[in-house]
Amino acid sequence: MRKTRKTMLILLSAAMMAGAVSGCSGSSSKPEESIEFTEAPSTEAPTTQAAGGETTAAGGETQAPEAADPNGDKPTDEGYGILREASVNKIGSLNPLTYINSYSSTQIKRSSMILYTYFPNEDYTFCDLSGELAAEDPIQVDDEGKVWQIKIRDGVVWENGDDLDANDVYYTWRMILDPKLANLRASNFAKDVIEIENAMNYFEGKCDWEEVGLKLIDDNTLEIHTVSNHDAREIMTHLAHPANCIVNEEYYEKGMNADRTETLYGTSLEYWISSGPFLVESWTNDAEITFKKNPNYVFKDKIWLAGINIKVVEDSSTQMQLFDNGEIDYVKLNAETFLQYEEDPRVLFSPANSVRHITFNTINPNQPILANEKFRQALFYATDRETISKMIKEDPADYIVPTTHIIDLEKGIRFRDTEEGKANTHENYGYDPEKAKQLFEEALAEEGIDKVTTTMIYNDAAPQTVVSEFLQQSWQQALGDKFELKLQAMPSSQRGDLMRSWATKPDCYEISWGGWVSTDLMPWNAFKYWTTYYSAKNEPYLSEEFDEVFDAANFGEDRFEDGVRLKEVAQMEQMLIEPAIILPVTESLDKYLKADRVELTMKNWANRVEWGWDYSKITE
Amino acid sequence: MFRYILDRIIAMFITLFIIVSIAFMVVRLMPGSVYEMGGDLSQTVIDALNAKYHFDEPIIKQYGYFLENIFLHWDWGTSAKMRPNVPVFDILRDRIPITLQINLISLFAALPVGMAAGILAAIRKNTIVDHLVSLMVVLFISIPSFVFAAGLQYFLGFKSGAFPIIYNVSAKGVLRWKSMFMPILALSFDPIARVARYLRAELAETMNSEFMLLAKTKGLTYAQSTIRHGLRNSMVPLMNIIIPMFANVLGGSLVVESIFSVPGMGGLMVDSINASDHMLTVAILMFYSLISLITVLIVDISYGIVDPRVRMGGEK
Repeated sequence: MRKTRKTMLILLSAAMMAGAVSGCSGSSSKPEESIEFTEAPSTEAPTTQAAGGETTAAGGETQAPEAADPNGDKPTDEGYGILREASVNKIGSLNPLTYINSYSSTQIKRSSMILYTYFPNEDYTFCDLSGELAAEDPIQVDDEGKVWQIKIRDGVVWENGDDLDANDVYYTWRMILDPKLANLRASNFAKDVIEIENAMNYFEGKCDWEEVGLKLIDDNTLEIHTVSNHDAREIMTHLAHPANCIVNEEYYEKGMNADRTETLYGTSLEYWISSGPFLVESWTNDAEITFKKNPNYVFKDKIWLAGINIKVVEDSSTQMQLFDNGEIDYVKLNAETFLQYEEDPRVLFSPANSVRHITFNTINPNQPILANEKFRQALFYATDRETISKMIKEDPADYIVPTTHIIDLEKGIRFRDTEEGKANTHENYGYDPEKAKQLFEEALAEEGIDKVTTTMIYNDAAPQTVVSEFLQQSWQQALGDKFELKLQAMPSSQRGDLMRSWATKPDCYEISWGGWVSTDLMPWNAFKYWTTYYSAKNEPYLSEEFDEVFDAANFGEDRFEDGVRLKEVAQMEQMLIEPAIILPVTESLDKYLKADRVELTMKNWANRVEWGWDYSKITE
Repeated sequence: MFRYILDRIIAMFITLFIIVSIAFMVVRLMPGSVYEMGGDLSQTVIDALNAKYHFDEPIIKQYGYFLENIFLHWDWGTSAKMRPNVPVFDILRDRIPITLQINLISLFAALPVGMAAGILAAIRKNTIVDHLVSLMVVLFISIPSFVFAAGLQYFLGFKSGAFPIIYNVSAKGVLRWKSMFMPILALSFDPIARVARYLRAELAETMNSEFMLLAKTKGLTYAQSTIRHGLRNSMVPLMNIIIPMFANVLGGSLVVESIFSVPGMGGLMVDSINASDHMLTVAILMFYSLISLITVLIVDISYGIVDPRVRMGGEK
């Protein structure tokens, strides 16, 4: 028996040791499969290295501590200094045709070429939409504005030195619309600001590739045929969408499976090649990515940085510790941490191009009063937006189009500054408890009920928790004992799924939060979320009249005439606010804390380029 | 014995099959569609993707495709959202090594410390040493590992600067091990306490046994009788708690990995559920189930080796 026990002990110990060893060293034999031994350069504390005058991680240069301006007069090919970021988001994929979130698209644009993109303007006060891979603005070929040619810039190369020309763009177009691949971003290319002739038909297998309105004229020229007439600005805006970043045929095919239904392109360094302002130097999935400046980038004179290092840090308090410790260069502040730094001159405000709003499920059979316009209006007027905005440090909003949205780009006029925009706002941000009470009583009488008890679902995180709890009290205070609001917290993704299931489950929710991030240079396009044909609608708002106005603003023949779009945008906003289809509350505002070692070249926050982190300088 | 082990392995695979089947059904029946994610996707694209991955078909047919792919091609599917198009087991393969490494090291580091504390408490029973060990055990068991993790990160990482605040994935050698120290330490407290508590109880009971009295009567010193007879008799039952402890530690690492930004299995399941990445969720559930089942299998086999009555199953 003792022998058996001994044997068992030895066997079990050996098994556990083998497990430990396999966990530790299994990766050493296959470095490419391992997290532990990923071939990444040390990104160890660039601050310390710089201070010590040693070699930096990405730049490979030696810094002279006594140098007055380490950046020099103009950017060098290698650049100077590493911008260190921490992010709660994970990249997942750098494939522009399948990326999931906007954070991924930011990293894709950092390392990929695209036909048109937004740069800071000459005096770094605003954005400038111009060609990156395209040599010039699109050239109108026909009289109607439906056929456009794009000339490709000479001398653009991939990371490995291969030419990047019109053939790569044409291959990208063919792949994004490939019916077998069914790429996630196909519709972003086929129909958004412009609609490409037969693009979706090809995607659905209804026509041949030759019938699609995309032509390769020569190695430097491409042609696009659209369904409606457009101007050059619309063509450029459409092609500036991250889904239009160019993919590399060799690497795209390398990752393709046997039946050509999926590709691993952009999922790891093995299946990725860069071409944009920065090159991906190392990448450990879901943990860390390091970019270095692309010395062959066509606009390398705009880039001062030697590189960018991003670590995935999901915990916000850990991010703050890293910032306070000088290990990252900027950090996003949440409502609580912002209170500590409110007066700090290093705080940067960044409008989020979104209005936080409340939305109603008007077809919920268990809560017919939600379909009552007067009831929804009562809640609109019972909402004390100023108090809420002070609580969560955002701007009060009784409107839908955010203040950053520009209606006339040439004149730089913001929609909210126009007479039409101002006409859609209310005194005291719409807060009128007396009117709210009166409308509520009328709604009760119309519905023939004595009391309303309804439930609001919200994200289980600040600031929605804080505001929801405030509304629970303040709405009851304004409307009286006949109104009761119940709250139900849930994770953001679950809430989103629940809301979007209204078509199949009409009782899925009653009241919820919403907020769409929209194109700030095209406010007319931002209303697509309320059209009947939008695929991920949060609320059952189905209005043919609204669709007509939207189509007129986006594709109508007279939309380029002076003031036409302005009126249509104002009309769409009015159509949503007046019957309280949605109930705007605040305008989202992100806050960042920036380290002193980073000098922003942007003089202010600007649409599209925001604070222009990629164009910043490291001054240490 | 061979028959006994074979039976247990067959039972393990049947259990795993049931777990994976239930996991598949539960995950697919969750509200929300994989591709209705609130982005700018047209309904045409959503429909095409649903058709491509059979999400538009009845759940029984989807289950049929799922089993067919596994049994005919050993294909567990690809991730839909976390890392689009990447086979789910490639994602796990990237994540598992670091999780196993941290958990196993923390467990093996905890064993000698816990055993020393347990022995000390048992041989100094009802003294101040015993009370201090008991206090430590209560604290280590009752306070969750993520509280220790946050505390360690703040005091040892942020305040004193002795260790990196987060795990440094790109560092090598000593720097890498240094950045692993705090997550390992945070995960060690619970196993230390459990081993100490168990060993103290076992050893204290053994020390009062009649055979220990006999050993001393035969002329053995206190130390000789404790080491040769007391400790050896208390160690064997200890093995039965150490193996299941591994599964517990894996569970506890979910939050600790998130705090120290360790790119391991921790959080992957929550992320995949939130992202409605169904195939990845099923694969992760299978991984955790497999670990638990193997743990149970090893315990069962060890029982069978130690006690023949177990493997006989009541047969005469």
